[in-house]
Amino acid sequence: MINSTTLAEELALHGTCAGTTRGVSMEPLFRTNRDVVVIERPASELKKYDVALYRYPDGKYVLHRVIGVRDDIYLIRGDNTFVVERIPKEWVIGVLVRFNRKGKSHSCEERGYKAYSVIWNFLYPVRYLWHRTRMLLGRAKRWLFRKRRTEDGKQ
Amino acid sequence: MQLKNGFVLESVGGAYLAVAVGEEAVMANALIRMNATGAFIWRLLSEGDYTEEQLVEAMLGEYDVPRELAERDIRAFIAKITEAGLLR
Repeated sequence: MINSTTLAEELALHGTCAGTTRGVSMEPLFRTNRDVVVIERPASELKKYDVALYRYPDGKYVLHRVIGVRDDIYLIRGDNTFVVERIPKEWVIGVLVRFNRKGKSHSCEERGYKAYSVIWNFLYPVRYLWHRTRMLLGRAKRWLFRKRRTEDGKQ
Repeated sequence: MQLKNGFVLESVGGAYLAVAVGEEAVMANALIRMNATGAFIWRLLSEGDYTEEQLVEAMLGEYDVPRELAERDIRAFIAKITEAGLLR
């Protein structure tokens, strides 16, 4: 997600805008208030792996990655989320062109960044399994802990 | 005078955008838009302490502009960043 209320106006007026990001959904790439994203009004349709800035009808802005392009919608997923959103193309108001991460400036055309985008998406099944496993382990731990406490209570 | 820490300067499509990060981003959600000469002064003031006169000299060394124009631009720029509370 992104950290400004005037993004749409900035984009409409100048065709560009920049801001910090909020939330964990694009980690490990972007961290809240640490990194800066530079957004441009898209000149054409977005491609797979582009990072789209879009606005929900309720006014909320989100910056997540395109993982598929269909006729009227984009399939979009945050680098650190596990749901696919189906976003109408007209909701998209911007595309990520540059970013400043840990104080270092990068273009989205850089080979390293492009490789990250492809590999991170390719590893999704592994990341998903790891995420599920951690959740199950957490649940098991909580269940065991609760069980132990009731037994203690009986003694 | 010198700029506060905690701003990132990025360029895109001929424009320069300064954005507050870290502590500054928590305080104010600032986006400052400037042109190439503005960015030149911005870089100087983020790296060191300069007087108005020193900024004019630096600008005359970098750009082929009349002194009066450089002085006027720098005075306007300083007024803007002072008003926005961006100086230390």
